[in-house]
Amino acid sequence: MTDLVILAIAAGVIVDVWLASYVFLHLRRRYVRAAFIVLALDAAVAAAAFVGLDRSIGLLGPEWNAVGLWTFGLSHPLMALYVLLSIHGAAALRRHPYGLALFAPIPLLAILGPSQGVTVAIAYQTNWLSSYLVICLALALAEAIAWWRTTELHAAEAFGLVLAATVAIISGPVYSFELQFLNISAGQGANPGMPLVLALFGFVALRANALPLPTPTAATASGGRFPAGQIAVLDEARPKYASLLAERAASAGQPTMVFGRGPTPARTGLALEVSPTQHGPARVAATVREFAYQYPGGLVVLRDLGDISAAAGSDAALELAAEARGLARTAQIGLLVSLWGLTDEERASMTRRIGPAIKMPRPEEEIKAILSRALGSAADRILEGYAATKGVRTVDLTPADVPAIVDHLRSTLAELARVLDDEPVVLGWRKEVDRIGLELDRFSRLSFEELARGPWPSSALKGTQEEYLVRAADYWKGKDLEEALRSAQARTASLELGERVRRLFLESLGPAGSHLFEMELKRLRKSVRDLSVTDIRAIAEGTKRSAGDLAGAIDVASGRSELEARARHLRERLLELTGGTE
Amino acid sequence: MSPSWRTALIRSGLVFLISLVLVVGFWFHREFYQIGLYPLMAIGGFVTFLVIIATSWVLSGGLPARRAKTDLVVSPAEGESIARRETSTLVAPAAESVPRPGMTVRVVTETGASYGTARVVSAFRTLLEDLALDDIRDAGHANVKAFRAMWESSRRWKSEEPVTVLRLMRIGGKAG
Repeated sequence: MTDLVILAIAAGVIVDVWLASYVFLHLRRRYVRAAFIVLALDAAVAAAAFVGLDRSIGLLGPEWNAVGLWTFGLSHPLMALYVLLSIHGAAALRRHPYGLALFAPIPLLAILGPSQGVTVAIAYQTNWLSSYLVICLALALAEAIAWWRTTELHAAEAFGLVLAATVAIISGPVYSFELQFLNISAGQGANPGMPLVLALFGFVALRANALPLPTPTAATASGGRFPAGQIAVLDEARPKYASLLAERAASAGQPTMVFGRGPTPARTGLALEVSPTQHGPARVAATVREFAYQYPGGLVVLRDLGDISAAAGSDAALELAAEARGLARTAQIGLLVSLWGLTDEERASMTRRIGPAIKMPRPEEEIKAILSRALGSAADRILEGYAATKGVRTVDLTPADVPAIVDHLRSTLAELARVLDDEPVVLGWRKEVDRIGLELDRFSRLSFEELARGPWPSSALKGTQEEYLVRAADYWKGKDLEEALRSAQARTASLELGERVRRLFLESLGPAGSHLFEMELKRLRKSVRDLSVTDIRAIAEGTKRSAGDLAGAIDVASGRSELEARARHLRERLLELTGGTE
Repeated sequence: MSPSWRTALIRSGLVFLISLVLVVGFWFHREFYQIGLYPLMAIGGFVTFLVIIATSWVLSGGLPARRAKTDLVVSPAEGESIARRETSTLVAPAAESVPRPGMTVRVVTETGASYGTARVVSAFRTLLEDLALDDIRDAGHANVKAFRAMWESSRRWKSEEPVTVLRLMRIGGKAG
């Protein structure tokens, strides 16, 4: 029996060291990792001393009693500290200074213990020492339970801590009292459950591990930094300004982290994609914490809080934002919270808890307002034409599209002027496009403060400003500008459209797709430049027939069905290009 | 080996290990547990039960008993489609309460007809008009028009209404 107990505790030493190494290599939460490693190594030394001091082993002399007692005692406040750090992060000792006070008796333990005849074997039987050790474990358990009762975001993590603290109490003092009750000396003074406690601690910590923090990008622009310690809640329909402000800050060299699903701003060095799974939210919270410690003065952008709400509930999303808000204040990081994707109720809770929402403009409407001032109702057509060539919707337009919109406008109006072939008109158009370009550029460069303060172009242009003496539309000499734009845009856009169709053929059918596309063009007697939306519908139908003919020529059933599937997919994508309906 | 099989194997292995630890614990404590067979059965059985429940909770992120009560209410057509494993996505208004990722749900209709169980793999939000065509197809609709028609049969179409997209994995049953 004694040999088996000693063997089990010796095996525990190996497990403790292995866990310390594993956590050292994999856990990205610095404070929790440090506390875990210290705890695990302390537990390993305590267990090794226990084994070495055992009479049947006789590896260590009685002078090692003090080491055994000290490390055994130290593991108790370390456990409480570990729980506090897991819950509160670096702020643990500031919020709960008693965490440090727990360590005060430890030096005394090393001095007084041996002189009072206290050994590790009777640690739990010595009144003053036993009380201290049990208080440490009880505090760990109480903190874990209190957290479990209040948190939605960290519920699984908190439960793991409760379980680990319970195991520590059962395998520590309870087990010791049991052995004492039975008058069994083997195993007295060891905590055989320590490897299990550490495994539980490690398991829950790794499940809520921080995401890897990439290196921030170097500054490529001046200005655009978001003020440290400032918190802003953005009221926007889509997360356009959350992304834009993040991109600006990153370009200005400010460490910036965007939490969101799917594509994050290209230039943002620290953009992270958050998986919308059950552990995603807890990992986001851990990452925000790590980011704040590592990059004080950086910017955290909670772009897709709706996903957190979907994955862990509204309360968890709110808790995450509140945690980030606390960190923004203590670690002096900037915080941007986008309200897009949240329900009205969630938006109201968020603004109550985090701060008042700042209404952001809709870029597509502001761009349209600027264009409308010069082009009247033709502004719609310009924007639609631009969106069609880019394969996006007008609601997807952002201030980042402004340079390309100006280019599109320039080429479209140049096409118009070429048709007119009138030098003064061409000159007038150019000046007009330059003026529109300047206004659009000014809008796209509005700082966060200017955007928040307003007014935006859409409201500023509503009759409050002086009207242009000559509008761009006036240059077209009384003809229907919209109609003219339609034909000019058709010419400039059709080439891009044709090339997109060719790309779809290539993507869906490989090199054979190019030949099939050429066949379709021949059938329609058109060139790539002349393709219209109606033609694409005809091509989609033609593709169905041609692919059917090709498939009929394939003997292998699997090859035939694959070709049919690819052709079906191509047809669907072509129809999407024409408006998404059949 | 498929991920679900691997997960099941790892989980079963862990539960088996814990069972071994419990048996070893009883063996070492045989002197202490000389309290009679029936009290030992009652106390030991209760402790074992608690340990297994807790393990299951930690491994799955939620109490099994609570999860089993969660229903995912769908239309009969969606239920049929999920049962046949043709649908792996559900779209619901964000304001509606929906199960969270990791939960195992009973797929039922409003009238109570059951279409088996499914696990929610992931969930995210988007706007109604921003739904990707792939998601619409995974939800069992041929195109945006068909999806919109289905949506408008029970609610108003508000293009910028936030919606929750749930990805499901059917559990048990046979593929149709």
